[in-house]
Amino acid sequence: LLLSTGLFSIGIYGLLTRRHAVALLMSTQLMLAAVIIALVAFARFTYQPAQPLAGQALAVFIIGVAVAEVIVGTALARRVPRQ
Amino acid sequence: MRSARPAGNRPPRTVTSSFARIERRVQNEQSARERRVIRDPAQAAGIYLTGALILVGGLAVVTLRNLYRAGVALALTLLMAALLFLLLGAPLVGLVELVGGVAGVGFMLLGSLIYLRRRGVAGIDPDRRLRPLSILAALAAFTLLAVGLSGARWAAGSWPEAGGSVAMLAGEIGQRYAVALDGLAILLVAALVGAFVLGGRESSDADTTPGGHRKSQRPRGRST
Repeated sequence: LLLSTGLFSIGIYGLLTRRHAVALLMSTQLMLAAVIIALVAFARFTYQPAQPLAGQALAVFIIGVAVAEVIVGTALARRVPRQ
Repeated sequence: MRSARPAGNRPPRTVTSSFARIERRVQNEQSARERRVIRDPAQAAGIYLTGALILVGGLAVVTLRNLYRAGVALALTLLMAALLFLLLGAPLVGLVELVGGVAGVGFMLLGSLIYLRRRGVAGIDPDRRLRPLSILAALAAFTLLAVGLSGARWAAGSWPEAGGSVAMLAGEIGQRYAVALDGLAILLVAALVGAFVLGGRESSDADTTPGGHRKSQRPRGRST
């Protein structure tokens, strides 16, 4: 959890520092990776017999959402420097 | 060595306080046992090493000025995250991260940078004006999250083995989360369609002059 917290903070730093659109996307990817790590860690350690793999399932969905975000983000980033 | 206390100062021992003390001791022993969930030292060392590499990679992503190197650092960071998931006993999540995160996200971002370079946009991020404020914001976020997560308690229990967890997770996603899976599929298709529409608009903008004429239109009266 400390790892995910640190990675999320690094992502916030990058999001505030960077100006290039692709660099901003990279920072958001770092933050999403931190969230996924936190989810898997919680799912690993807070075991619930009724739904033992709910955290992992949520992590899989978040990875899918991250990919969708990058698809749209790269398409937008190609347009932004032109305007 | 415990000092002997006079009998008059000793608080009255009741059945309720004894039960509470026993319950507290059981909880403390249980939490101490739960803190050692990862018992294999090699696995623990791998987790710590991977975590350190993830942090170093994340720092490289946000500090490198050359965005190509930052993209490679991001791909390596996501690769380490996939390895961490494998070490934590979540092989399916690691595999999805490997395919979606490393291959998908990393190569899409690097491809986008290469495309922008061909269009004359430099892959360098020079702006550094907000650095002190950004460091303060990141430290504040770290403190807030660390304090918020410090009270997390680990529950007792054991995960299924790696192969069993893949089968169970696939079964859960296919049955319990089928609607969410369909939603994710629709989201991905919508993102792809949106990207194609944006790309098509961009190419039509590039081919059109400010007067509305297409650049690719060949001037009349000239032969090839």
